[in-house]
Amino acid sequence: MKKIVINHINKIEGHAGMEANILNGKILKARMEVKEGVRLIEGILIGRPIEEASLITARICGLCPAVHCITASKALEAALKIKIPEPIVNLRKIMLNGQIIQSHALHILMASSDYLGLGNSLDLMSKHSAAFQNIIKIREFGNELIETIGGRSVHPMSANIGGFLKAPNQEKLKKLLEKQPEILASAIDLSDWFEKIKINKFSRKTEFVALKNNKEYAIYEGDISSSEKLSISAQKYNSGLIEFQRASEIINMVKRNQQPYLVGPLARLNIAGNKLNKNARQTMKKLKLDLPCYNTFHNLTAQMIEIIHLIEETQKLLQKHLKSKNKIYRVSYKIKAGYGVGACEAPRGLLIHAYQIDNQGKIVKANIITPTAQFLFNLEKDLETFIPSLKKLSPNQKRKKIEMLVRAYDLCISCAVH
Amino acid sequence: MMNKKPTVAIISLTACNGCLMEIINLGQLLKGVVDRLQITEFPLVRSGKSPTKFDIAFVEGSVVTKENLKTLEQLRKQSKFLIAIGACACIGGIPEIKNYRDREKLIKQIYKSTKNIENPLIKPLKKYVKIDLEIPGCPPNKKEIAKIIASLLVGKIPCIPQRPVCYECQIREYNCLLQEGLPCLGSITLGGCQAVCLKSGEICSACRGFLSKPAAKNLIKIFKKQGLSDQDLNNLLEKFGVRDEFEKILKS
Repeated sequence: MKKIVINHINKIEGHAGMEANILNGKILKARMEVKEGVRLIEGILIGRPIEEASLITARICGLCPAVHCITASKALEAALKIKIPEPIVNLRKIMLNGQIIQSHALHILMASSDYLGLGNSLDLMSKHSAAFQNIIKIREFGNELIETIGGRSVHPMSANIGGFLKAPNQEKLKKLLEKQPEILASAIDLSDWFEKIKINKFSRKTEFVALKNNKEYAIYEGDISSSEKLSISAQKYNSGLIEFQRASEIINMVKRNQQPYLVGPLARLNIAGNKLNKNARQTMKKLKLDLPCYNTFHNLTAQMIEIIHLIEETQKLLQKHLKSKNKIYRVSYKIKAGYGVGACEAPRGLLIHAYQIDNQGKIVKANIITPTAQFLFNLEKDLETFIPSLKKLSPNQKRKKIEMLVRAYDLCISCAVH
Repeated sequence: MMNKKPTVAIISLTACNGCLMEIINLGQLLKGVVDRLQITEFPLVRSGKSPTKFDIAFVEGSVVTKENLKTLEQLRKQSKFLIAIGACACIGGIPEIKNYRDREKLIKQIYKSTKNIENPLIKPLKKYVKIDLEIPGCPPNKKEIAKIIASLLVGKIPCIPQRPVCYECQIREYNCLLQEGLPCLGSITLGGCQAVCLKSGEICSACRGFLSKPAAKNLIKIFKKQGLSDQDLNNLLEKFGVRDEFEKILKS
């Protein structure tokens, strides 16, 4: 029996490796090896005041802290049975858009370097300087959206249960709206550059899971839905998504009907691609992404398309907010015991927070299911299909291709382990 | 102090990568930094073999696994100037909350099988190796990071002025949350964050650690007058892992 072992995969968030066992050219088993330390975030929340949940869970991940803040708040609001008015929901959506825009832009920087023959993503700065400048501009826009509403782009502190501690600066929001057309142009420019990247060929059928609602390309709210008839409310997430831990592993993975499934940009496109905004739809055509798409390498393409969609969406939301006369930033609430679940779409896919709280406003139990924890199982199955197709390549080339598939998923190991 | 283009490593232990994000979030400034440094080790954005000596190394996160400790010890040996960046590395941060709980019980809440899962006490990195400079904060302030890099480039060892968060809060005329009756730690916490939490109406929770001579006993008196319970005070101090530090100060 032969083994392919990669001890550490660079250009991903966190520490992970991969091991595959091969017998007579056929792959028996591929395993992702997560080497991150555990911080026990769900454990340390127990006994602490509910208002700390958004601040503490933000620290699960420096790449997507805002979505943890908002998902925690939503879950606790469900437990307290508070209804959040539309003006607050809209501001939260802008924050989520900002989060996904900046995270995707960074990942395009990290993962495109493989296709351009660059080991170092920062080399794009000198060798693809126009694309690099566009990526930086797009990221800064995303960060400014989060910062203006949440107080800070990494670990925002204003978004909490009931809304925001402080009203966002209207002048700054106006400036961001004025800047939007320029950022959209940068993103379309970036997609022209992206068009030249030849994405690897691959296909393996799987089930896609994402939030879905009838109004829009769901990011903030909707039922947990799949390409295979799954449709459950967030509150009932554990009736469809089953957590499991393999012997002596530090990650609680997730499966559906014993099978792996995919969450994230490509899953979202497959489920709600018909709800994209105009420029995003055109970009999808230009980048020749046909739905349904079972090539997970195209997760990167899906990120490019989502960046454009969300920049367009942000314009609508900012206009709506600035025009509205009814500006509410916070609703008050009474503490009571209860159980609640919140679900949002994080950059890497469906994120679920669930909390049991007592009548003193303390957390009794917490469960957090991150996108990476959900798609790791799917990645392993992809690897088992993909690796045998690399038979003719040298060990070095093989390693490179495997790493590219892993990177296409945009892993966040800190989130997966937390 | 440095040769022309210093070689730099940017490493994370068990962490959220938020500190590294703040480096990348330098955005337009990042180009200036990259042009003046030779960033040879930065696994988040680059792959390939790297040299084994660094003029400057940044390290974020906590030591949770034996592998983390090995990485840190090796980095110390390889680096002329080792910088701990962020609250986890400097004061313990959010992961230190478990030090104040029964951590064996906590881990069983999360995992069915806890075999092979390392679950040590969390300590600041200076308890393991010599640290040459600490850049505090959760996350650290990117402008401060840029300033520190600029100062290292001209051969100066940067130092963060011993001013409380209150100083920065007052000159910006933010509402004083302590006067409004909230337990804000700004008066005893090392500033440099531009009082960013107060700007958002959130109390200071000492993520940057304490001043060298904090007036902790006075602050306790105010908290007691406000009716803050011991448990709520402990909760507040545990958030970024400064409860042990605070208790030491009170005893001294």
